[in-house]
Amino acid sequence: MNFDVLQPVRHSLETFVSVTNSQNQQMLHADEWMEPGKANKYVGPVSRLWRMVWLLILPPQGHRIIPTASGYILILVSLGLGSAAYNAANNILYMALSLMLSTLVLSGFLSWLNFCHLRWRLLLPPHFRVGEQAVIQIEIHNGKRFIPTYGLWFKTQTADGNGGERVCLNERLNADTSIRLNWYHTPQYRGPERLILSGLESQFPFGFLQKRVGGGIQKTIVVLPRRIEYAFDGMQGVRTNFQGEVSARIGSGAEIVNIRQYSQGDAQRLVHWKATARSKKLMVKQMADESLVGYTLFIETPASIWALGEQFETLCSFVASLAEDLFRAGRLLGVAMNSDSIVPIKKMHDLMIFLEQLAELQLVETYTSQANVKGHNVITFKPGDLNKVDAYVGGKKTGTA
Amino acid sequence: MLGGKRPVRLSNTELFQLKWLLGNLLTLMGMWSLFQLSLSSQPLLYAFSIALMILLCVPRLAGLIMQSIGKSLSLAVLLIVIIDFSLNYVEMIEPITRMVLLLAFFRALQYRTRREDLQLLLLALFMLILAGVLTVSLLFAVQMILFSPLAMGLLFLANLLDHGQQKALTTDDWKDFHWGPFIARVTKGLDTRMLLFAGGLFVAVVAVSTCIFVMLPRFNMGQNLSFMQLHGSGKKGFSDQITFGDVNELADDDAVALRVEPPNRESIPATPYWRMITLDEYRNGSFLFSMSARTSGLQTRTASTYTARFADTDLRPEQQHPDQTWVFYLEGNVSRFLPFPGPFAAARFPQNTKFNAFPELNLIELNQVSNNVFGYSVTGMFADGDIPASEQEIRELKHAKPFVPTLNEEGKVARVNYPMTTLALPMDAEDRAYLNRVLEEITDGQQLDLAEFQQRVFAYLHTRYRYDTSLGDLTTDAGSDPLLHWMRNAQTGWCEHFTGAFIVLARMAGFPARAVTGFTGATWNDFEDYLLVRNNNAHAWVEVFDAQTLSWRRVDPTPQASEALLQATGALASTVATDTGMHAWLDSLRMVWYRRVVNFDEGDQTEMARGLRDFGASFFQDIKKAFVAGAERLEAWLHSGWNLAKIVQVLAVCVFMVLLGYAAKYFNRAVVFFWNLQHRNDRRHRGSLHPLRRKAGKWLLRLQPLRNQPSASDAGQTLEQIYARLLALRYDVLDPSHEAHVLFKQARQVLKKYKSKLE
Repeated sequence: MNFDVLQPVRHSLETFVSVTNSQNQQMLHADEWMEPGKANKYVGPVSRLWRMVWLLILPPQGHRIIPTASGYILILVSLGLGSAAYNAANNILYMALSLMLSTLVLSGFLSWLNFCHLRWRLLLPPHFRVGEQAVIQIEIHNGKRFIPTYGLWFKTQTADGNGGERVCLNERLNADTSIRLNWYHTPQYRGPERLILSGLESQFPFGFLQKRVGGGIQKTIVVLPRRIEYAFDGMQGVRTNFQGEVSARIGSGAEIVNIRQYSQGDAQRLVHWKATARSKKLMVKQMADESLVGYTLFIETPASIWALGEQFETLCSFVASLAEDLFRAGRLLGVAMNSDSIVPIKKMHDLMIFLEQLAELQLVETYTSQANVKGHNVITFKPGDLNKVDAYVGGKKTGTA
Repeated sequence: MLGGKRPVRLSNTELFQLKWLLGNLLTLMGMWSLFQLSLSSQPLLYAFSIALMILLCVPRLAGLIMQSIGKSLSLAVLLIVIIDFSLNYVEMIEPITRMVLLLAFFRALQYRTRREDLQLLLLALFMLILAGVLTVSLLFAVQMILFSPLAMGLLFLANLLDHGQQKALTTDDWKDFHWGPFIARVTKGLDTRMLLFAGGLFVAVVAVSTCIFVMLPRFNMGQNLSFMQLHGSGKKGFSDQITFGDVNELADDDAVALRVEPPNRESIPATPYWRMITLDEYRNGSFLFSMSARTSGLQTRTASTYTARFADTDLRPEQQHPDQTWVFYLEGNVSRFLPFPGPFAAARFPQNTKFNAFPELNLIELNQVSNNVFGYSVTGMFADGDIPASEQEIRELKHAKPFVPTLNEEGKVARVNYPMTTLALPMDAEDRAYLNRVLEEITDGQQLDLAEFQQRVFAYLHTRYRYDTSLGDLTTDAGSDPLLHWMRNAQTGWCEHFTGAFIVLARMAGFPARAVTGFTGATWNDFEDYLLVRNNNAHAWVEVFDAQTLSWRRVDPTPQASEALLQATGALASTVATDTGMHAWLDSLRMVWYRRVVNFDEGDQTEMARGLRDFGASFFQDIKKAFVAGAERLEAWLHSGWNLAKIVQVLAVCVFMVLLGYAAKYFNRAVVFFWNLQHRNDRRHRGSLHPLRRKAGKWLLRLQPLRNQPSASDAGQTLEQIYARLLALRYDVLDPSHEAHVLFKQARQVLKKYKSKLE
């Protein structure tokens, strides 16, 4: 058969693996798999053989073998038996010693076999939020043909040393199967956080030696601000009537109610060419739905007004929660931070970028106020009483958190 | 998979139950090993074993017992151990064994955590090794082979279950436990492939263990684990004082007493006598190893070798073979005295041993009776010879006369010094008169030499007395000497009677004589080429001093023609019979155990290494010779003229080579064909295990770095197309008509072309 037409493939070493959850999709590369003794480049069969022999003598970097308590007991018993055997020249003791040493050899072989053809990777949820439990999955694949794998675990922690726990494989992982282990993590602070997954560890088969193979996986995540309760002009996080100026957003209506001058973010298809030609200015159509009110969030964080602490975190959380709710209600036009220009928010992706910026928001020491971010539908934020944060629209206080 | 179905996964509780059961089986195995020790705590051992077996049948009982008396039980165990050690600290083995037994049983009662499982394992291992060291029996090897997989299974399960939430069982977990369903579940949970793999691993462990055992360097530091020895008790018939009947008692005992490995079969005498003790003094119906004989020339040593006086070439018997080595394995609880068939030059023990050597008598006595097999080797032995007399014996006996020992002030027989004890006749006048009459009857008043005297005494004894293990109606007479009483009144007797009768008559005639006890006869085991001597080969005979040859000549007055004796033991047959059958084969296993394992030392290692070296050298020599011969034949064939036969041969070779080439070329296709044939009905195996898919996967790996190289663009479309087709072959639905070999060939060409870019 000729391969003229490419048949659709189900799996691939290099195709993207999509992980779909209820909220989002995350694309991961399949070559993010970790393996014990993973080589960075292709090695030939002869080189592979020498490498395998060398690895038996000197484990690769990141591999560690330490005796457990029972391992130390075994060593002590073997030493005792050996001493008695040599002192008394008793072949019964030699025999017992030989059996213990061969058990140790077997233990090493089975441990090596247990780790053979294993690979693992980290599957992250689409986002992390302060105070909300995120389920991080560790997928392990046993690539062996016949032999199952037992008794593995990973040590998980964050860079600041918090959240250290073991994620264990409690059941048998059959040959040529995968399993996903759940690591439940609740971030405590917004901003970048490094997740550390140690290499695969096991005490298989007899618990004499604790062996760690493979390199760890480190992933830097961005923890979004916490979602909080707030009040915004009567709205408690659900849709209400908004007050504000007519926005320039594309509406679903078909009726033209107005023609106005072009503003940044307007779609090209709304351009009214005739009016543009007549007025020599770029003019756009304003459809009926555009009469719905939209808001622009403007966040200023000068050090003269704000101080790092609970109130600042409340600001970030308030802004994030409000932005999300406004976006869901279709009322979020754009955002601006400090001296940056307004960024229109049209898709979830834009919102996520904004939220990630919020996650890393810090105080600004020298700050010049943005001149063009003004208007009746611009929401600004100022510190309130008792560590609260107040939201203002057109100079009027319309919300607090 | 058993039954071809998907294996059942055992739940955590079931795994815990299996672990508990394995632990208790290990405990039972440890207790089984202790039964061999014959300790005073045997009743306790029986009680614990029975209790453990009941627990195995009804596991729930363990939880109930521990719930009710668990805490007090632990305290009781501690107290018992302390008291036992306080009372019995002298004999360490007994309290140690009891302590280990108690602790193991206590642990067996519990539903154990991982730590407790490890403790139990160590205790069971200790019991096994203790019994093995003390008994040195073949059963130790069997028990270790059974112990190992159970122990590994226990450790495996303990490790597996350690990471879960549950740490130990409770009584409720055993509520619905029944053996039948449990075994059925476990059986269903077994995978045939894994079982075979585990079996293979176990064989590998045994093989590796054997290699380590052989290769471990041996250094004899000359130490003894003195507390790790059990004292045995020897047979009365082989002690330094025997009364009539002590040797005969052993006639019904067919337990093995001695195994002998001769240097070759020709060195075995026709009727071997295994000489253990000389009993030179006769007193009150008993033959004794007199104190003066014991102290005459005594050498007490702690060493691993002993050089006898016959190492001296001047004293060595003519037929002695200096280089030949005899190896003996004396079973435990036989005797302190070591059997030898004749004079020897040197004896060697596996380790430093405390012993008493009697050079003049050619005897060695151990410090205590060994409880287990004692092995020793002897060089320079003359297996069928007389014992040359020592200077003192020659000096004192050559012209000595028989005498009656005098009585001392207390009315007891005064001490007589060796070797005069061999002429002493401590009898009253009446008995002496009787002996004189008998002697007169035998010798007719003539002065006979030893050979003639011996024949006539044999004739006299064999005419009047018959060998039988029973004395018939003969009653004992408290007042008279039992030997003389027998001589006067009996018609049947044992070897001791005939020996005693000969001795007294010989002494009366002026020939120094002493009794000797040991074994006579043996059976030959063809499986391992050694001689087997049993307790019922026990025998007593005489050694008479020959003034002509200046040696002690062996004389056996017991009649050899006795039908009863032949039926009973066959031990006095003049030839060594060959033992065959299952018993002989089983016994040969024990011999292998003693020879190859228990007594394996650095000499054996050297010999093994030498053997390997010689084997390797001869093997390569043979290969080389075969190769050279083949080359010469080929050369001759090539130089021979052409003929029809030669042409046919050449054509056949060419055709064969072509076929071989095609076979190599289409090997892959053949593999695929047979694979498909085998798995045509098995959808599951049409996945990644397919040989073509595996090969495609390997090619993908090999081409991947090439695609990542910046210069890969040179490969262009060709590489991408090939890569895409390999992907499809690897992961897509497998089409049997795929021309995979063409694709692999193209991949090879691309890789070869751009290989330099990888380096």
